[in-house]
Amino acid sequence: MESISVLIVEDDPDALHRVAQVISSCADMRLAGTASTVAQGRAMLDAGPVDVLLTDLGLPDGSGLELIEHASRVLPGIEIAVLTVFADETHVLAAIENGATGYLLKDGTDANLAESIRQLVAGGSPISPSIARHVLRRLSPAGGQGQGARANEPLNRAPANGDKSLLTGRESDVLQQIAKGFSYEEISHSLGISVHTVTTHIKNIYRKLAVRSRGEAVFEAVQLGLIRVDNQSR
Amino acid sequence: MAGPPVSRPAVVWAGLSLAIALLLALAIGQLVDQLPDERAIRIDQGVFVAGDGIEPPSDVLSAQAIPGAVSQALPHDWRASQSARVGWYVLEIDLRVAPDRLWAVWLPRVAHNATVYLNGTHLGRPGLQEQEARNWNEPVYLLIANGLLEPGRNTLAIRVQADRPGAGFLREVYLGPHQEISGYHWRASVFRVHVLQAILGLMLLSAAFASILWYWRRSDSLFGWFAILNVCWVLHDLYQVIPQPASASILLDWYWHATLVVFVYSVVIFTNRFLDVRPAAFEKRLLAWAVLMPLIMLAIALSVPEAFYRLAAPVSDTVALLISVSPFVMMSAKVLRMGTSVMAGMMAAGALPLGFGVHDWLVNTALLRPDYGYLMPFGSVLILLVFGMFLTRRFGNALSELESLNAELELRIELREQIIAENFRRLQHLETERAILDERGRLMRDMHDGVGGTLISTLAMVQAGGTNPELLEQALRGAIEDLRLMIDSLDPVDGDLNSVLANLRSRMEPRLLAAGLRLEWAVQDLPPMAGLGPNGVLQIMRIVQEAINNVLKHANARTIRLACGLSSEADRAARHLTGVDPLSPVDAPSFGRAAPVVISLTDDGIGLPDGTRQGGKGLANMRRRAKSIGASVSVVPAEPGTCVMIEIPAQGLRASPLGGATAQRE
Repeated sequence: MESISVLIVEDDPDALHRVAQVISSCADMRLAGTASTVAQGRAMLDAGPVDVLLTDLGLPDGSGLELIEHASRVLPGIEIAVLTVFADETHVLAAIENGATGYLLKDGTDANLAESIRQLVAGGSPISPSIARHVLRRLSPAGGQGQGARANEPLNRAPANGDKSLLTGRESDVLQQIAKGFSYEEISHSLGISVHTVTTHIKNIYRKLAVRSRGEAVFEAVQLGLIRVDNQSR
Repeated sequence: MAGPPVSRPAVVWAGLSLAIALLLALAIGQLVDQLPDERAIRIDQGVFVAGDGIEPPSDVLSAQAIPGAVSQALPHDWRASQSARVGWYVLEIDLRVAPDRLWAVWLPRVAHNATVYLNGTHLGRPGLQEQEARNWNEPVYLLIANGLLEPGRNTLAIRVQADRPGAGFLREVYLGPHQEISGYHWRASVFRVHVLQAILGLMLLSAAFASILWYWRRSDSLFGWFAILNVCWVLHDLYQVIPQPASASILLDWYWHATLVVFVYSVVIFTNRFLDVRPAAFEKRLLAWAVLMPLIMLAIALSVPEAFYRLAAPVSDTVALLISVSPFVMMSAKVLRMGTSVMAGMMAAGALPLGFGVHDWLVNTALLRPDYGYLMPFGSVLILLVFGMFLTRRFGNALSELESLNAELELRIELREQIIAENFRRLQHLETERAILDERGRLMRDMHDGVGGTLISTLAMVQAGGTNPELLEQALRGAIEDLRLMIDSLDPVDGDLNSVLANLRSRMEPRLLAAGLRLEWAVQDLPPMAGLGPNGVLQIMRIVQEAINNVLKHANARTIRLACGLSSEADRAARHLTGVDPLSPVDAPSFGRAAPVVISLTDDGIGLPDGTRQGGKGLANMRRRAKSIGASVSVVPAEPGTCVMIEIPAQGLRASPLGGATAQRE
C-alpha cells in the first residue's frame, strides 16, 4: 500500500514542525509538503495530487477556508482536516461546509494525530456531541439555518410530507445518539449496525452539509444577480 | 376674553361700533317718528288759552276774540311758559272743498289727555275724558264723521289736560284722509306701545335665561347681574306701557325716578363684572346711593311734592346720568386697550341707551322738547343682541379651548410615553450591559482560578529550574482542557443536561483512556432542567472535572462510572444509609414530573483516606461550586472506591438572573 501523502498548511512554525515530525515518523505516511500561507498552499495543491490536506484556519494572507474549498474542488476525493484548538462548532462546521471531511485537535498526542489521519483516510470522520447538535439544527427539517429544533426535543418525529428532509432517519438517529454522548461502540450496539457504518454515516452527513452550503451559496448568488441561470442556452 | 393687545384694530372696532350705534339710533328715530307731511294737512299754528273749561271756549268761531288767548306754534311744551293744568288750543283749517272720503284727525303726541272738537262737534267717544287713564305714549287718532268738514274755514278745538300743572304738551296736529294717515298712526302706535311691550317681554325672557345660566354657574356672577340689569330696566320701562291715571300720581313719578337709580346701579355693577374689575369700596358706596336716594326721594315726594319735582327728581336724574357715563367710559377704555369685536359691540350697545338716556334726561329737564317721548327703552335691543353674541363667543371659546387642551393633553401623553419608552430602552440597555459585565466577571473568575492559576504555577516551575517536560506537558494540557470546558459551557443547551455530560465525556475520555482507565457510561435521558445557563453548566463541568482529576491523581482505579438520573425518595434514603451508589437504571424516566437529578462518579480505586471525607481542598472547592448553583455535593465510600454525588434539586439550578437569561436567549 502506498503511503498517504499529506500536505500541511500552518503558519506557526513550531506547530508546523511538530505535525511534520509526526507525519515523517510514520511509516505509512509521507510528507508531501508544507506551506504557511494560502497562496503557497494553493500552489502546492495545484502542483500535484495529495491524499490528505491538514490546514489551519487563521493564515496570514487569508482564511484556511479558501484553501479547503479550493482543494475539494480541484482534488475531489482528497481528505481535508482542519487543525483546531477547541474543535468548536463555528470553525469545524464552517470548514465542513467548505468541503472539509474532519478536524484534528492541535494538541493531540502524536499517536492520536497519526491515528486520526489514518481514520480519516479510511473513511471515518471525527465528530463531537456539540458538533452533532449543531448539525442536527442545521439539517433537520424543522427549520433552516439557525432556526433548528431544540436539542432535547424529541427529534424522532418523521419529516412532514413535502419537507425536504436532508437527513435520512438513520443519519438523524446517529446524530442524536452522538449528541447524547454515546460512543461509536455504544451506538453500533443500540442501532444494530457496525462501527464502520456509523462513521460512514457521519462522513455522508458532512458531505450533505457541504453540498447544502454550496447550494445555498449558488442560490444567494442567483438572488443577488451574481449568477444568471440560463435555462434556454446550450 | 382677551383679544390681541393691538390698539389700532381696537380703535377701528370702537369707531365702527359707535357708528353702527348712531345709525341704529337714527333708524329707530325714523321708525318712531314718521309724519304724514305729504299726505295730510299739518297744523302747526293756532291759539292757546289756559283754563279749566270743559266746553270749548265760546266764540270759537272767532278765535281772536277769546280772552287770554295767545298765538301759539306747535309743538308746544307747557313747561317753558305755562303752569296751568288744562288748556285749549284753537286751530283753523281752510279747505277748498269738502272731502268726499273719510277723514281723520291725528295727534302724534299729546300730554296727557286730549279732547277734540271739530266745528263744535265732539270727536271720539262721548262724555268727559277727565279721569280716564290713558297710555300717554300712544298717539290720538279720531275719525271725522262724514259731512262735518265744510268747505272753507274749519275750526279744531283741542282740550289738553296734563296730569299736573305745567306738564302739558301738544305736538303738530294732522288732518287728512283716513286712508292716507291711518297707517302712520298705526305704525307709531305699534312701535311706541306694542313693540316696546315686545322688547320688554324679550328682556324678561333673557333675564330668566341669564338667571338659569347663573344658577348653573354660581361663580359666574356676570349672568346674575345681567338678569338683574334686565329686570331693573323692565321695571323702569313699565311706566311707558301701562296706562296712567289722568291726574298725576306722585308715587308713579317717584317710581320712575327710583327705578332709574336702581337701574343705573345695576348697569355699573354689570359693567364691572363684565370688565372683571371689583372696586369694592366704590360699589359699596354706590349701593348706599341706590338704596338711600330712592328713599330720600320718597320722603320728599310724600312731604313736599313741589320740592320733589323741582329739586329731588332732577338732581337724582342728573346724578344717575353722570354715574351711568362711567361704565361706558370704562368699556371704551378697555376696548381701546385690547378690544375684541364682542367688547366693541358691548361698547356700542352701551352707547345707544346712554345716548338715548342723555336725550331723555334733556327732555326731563325741559332742555329738550318731548317730541319723541322717551327713547331709552329702545336702547336695550342692541344690548340683548350683543350679549347673545358674547355668550356664543364664550361657548365657542370654551369649545376650542377644550379641543386645544385635549390636543395638548394628547401631546403630553405622547411625550410621556416617549419618555417612558426611552427610559425603558435605557433600562434594558443597562440590564444588557450589566448582564455582559456579569458574564465577563464570571469568565474572568473562572480563568483566574483555572487556567490563570495553572499557567502561573507552570511558570513558577520553569523559573525554579525544574523543567520536567512531562509535568510541563501535563500542566499545559490541563490548561487547554480548562479552556475547552469553558468554551463548551458557553454554548446554550436549553436545559439539556445530557448534552453537558456528553461534552464532558468527549473532552475527558481520551485522557482517561490514555491513563488506562475505562469509562462506564450510565447516563439516562433526562427531562429539561431549569436554570441550566452557562454558569450552571460550567460549575457542573468543573465539579465533574475535579472529581475525575482526583481519581486520576489519587485513586489508582481501573474503572470509572459516570451515572446520571432522577432519584426517588427511597433511593436517597438508601444512599444515605449504605453510601453505595444506588442508582439503577430507572425503567421509565418520569417526564414532566420534577424530581431531583443525581450525577454520580464512582471509581473502584483505593478509596478515600480516613479522615478526609469532609476535608480536603478539592472537596471544599466542589462543595463551594455546588452551593453557588443551588446543588449539593457529597462524597461517600463506594466499597470499593469512592462515589462523588452531585444532587440537583427538583426545581433546577439557581440561575443567576443573567445566567439563565443568556441561556434562554439562544
